[in-house]
Amino acid sequence: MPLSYPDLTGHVALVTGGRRGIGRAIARRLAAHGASIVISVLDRREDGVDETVGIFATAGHPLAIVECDLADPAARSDLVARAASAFGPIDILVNNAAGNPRAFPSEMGLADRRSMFELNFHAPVDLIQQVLPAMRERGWGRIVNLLSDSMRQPPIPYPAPADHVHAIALYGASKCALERYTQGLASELADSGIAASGVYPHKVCVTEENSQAARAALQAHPELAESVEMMAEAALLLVAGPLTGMTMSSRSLLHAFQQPLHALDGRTVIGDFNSMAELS
Amino acid sequence: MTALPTLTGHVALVTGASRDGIGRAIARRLAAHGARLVLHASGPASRDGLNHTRDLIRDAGGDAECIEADLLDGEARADLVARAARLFGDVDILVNNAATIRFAPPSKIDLPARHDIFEVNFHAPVDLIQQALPAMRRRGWGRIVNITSDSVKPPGLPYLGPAKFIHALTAYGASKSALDRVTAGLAAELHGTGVTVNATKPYAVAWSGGADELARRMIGTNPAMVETLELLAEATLLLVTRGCTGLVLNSREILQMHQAPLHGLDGCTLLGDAMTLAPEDGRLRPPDIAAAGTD
Repeated sequence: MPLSYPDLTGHVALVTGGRRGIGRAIARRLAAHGASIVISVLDRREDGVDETVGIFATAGHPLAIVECDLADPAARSDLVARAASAFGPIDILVNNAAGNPRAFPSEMGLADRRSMFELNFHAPVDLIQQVLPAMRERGWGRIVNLLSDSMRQPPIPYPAPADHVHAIALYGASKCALERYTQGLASELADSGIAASGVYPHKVCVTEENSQAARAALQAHPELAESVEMMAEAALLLVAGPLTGMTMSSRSLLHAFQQPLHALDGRTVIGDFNSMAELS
Repeated sequence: MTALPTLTGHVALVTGASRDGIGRAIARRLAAHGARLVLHASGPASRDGLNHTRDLIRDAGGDAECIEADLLDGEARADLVARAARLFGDVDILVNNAATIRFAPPSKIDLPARHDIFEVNFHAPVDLIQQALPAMRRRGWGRIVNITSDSVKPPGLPYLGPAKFIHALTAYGASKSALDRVTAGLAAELHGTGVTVNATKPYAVAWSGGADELARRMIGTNPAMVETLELLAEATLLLVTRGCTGLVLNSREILQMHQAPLHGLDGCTLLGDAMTLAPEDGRLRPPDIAAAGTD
């Protein structure tokens, strides 16, 4: 059943890595529905931060920026507390930030593997554990973890060059861990009012972060591409909807909910689960 | 007598081989086929058990040596394969069996516990694989078998155990899920090199010494969920000798797809097949269990 225009007024969302791409689109969509937004970035001077601040200011949506090196356990240990000082306790957490040093599984060294698992697995879990007390107090909370289609070894023949396939295997492993954690967390939190789910681009989301190789692959296989609006719609469904323990692709979620695809303003219908992305 | 098929000329490193469990059973089975075994355990606390595994193999006429390294410690494991290679030559069969578990629900399991789980269950296997690969590539033949777990899957409904236990397995399952993914990814990367990478696991619970009480409790109500260590040893032998790659399957599935019978750890005694259930009296279990206890 599609959601009517959900109202998130009075809710506060923390979106990690929200200065561009999927994270920013999700933040904008949640803001369009009334949520106050806190975006965490590594450094205020990074690309996209000023632009993001401008977008929110123009739309009149409340936004706070907090700096945090998520790969550093000490630096992230008070992130949720710092984020809560802007608009009050966080009751929507979107673990979007992630990284991939891109090396083959036979070659990626321990230091890179460890830092990737810090950022992609341990940081999300730490932030979840930090937000849970306030969510329990409120009896309501939403946790959305960004996963990846690379959790599964690609079909044969490979849809992308073998170099790319091998370079995302360990990244996929870190997301597998997060997926399994999400499912276990949802089970543990059953009946608490707190829902935990994961969502990932059905294949590839078109953002400014796509590599040259990814752009080339999308030109050749446009059916693999989707817009950031698709991910934002899917995240909204997980935040505003009642379900928990879902770990699904964006398109599958829109299909399951029979949900139209909206622009980031949350009002303009621009398609549905089947819509293709515009390739620049 | 060396059981067929023969692994003479091959050297296997099996991590976590000190306990009355999967590692010891696999080591004994590979040795029965003629492989020379480097048996690993974490340190002095496991030394008696490790020596016992070595003695079992030697008593059966096989070659085995012991090696210690704390897999929690990135530096301590950094030269493990090189040290192992000094005993019998290059390792060309690597069985990543050692694992660690910290029981805590996902909302509470703290960062040090998660770090421990991922160091031992994920980073250590990947490190050892990366260490073993150069010699395997040189030889044009190598076998990597990762032991994984049914807990990679989300909790089935209804829960087949106490909810508290189901939740407490989450982080462990997450680490094994990561290992499964890298197993498939490595198999793809190593296509054509002669090095295969696979993973196997018990359908649910392996009847190890450590899980003896759990196994005896479960076998009355869910006999299919308890399996003997011989099944995992047979599955591992099939992965080592038959040459498939990229499989991440439970032991029974591996026997079934190969249409292979189930043997005892001597590699000769016929015990059944993929469908054979563990008898309630534990008859299939190796005779050393009662004497050795758990370590």
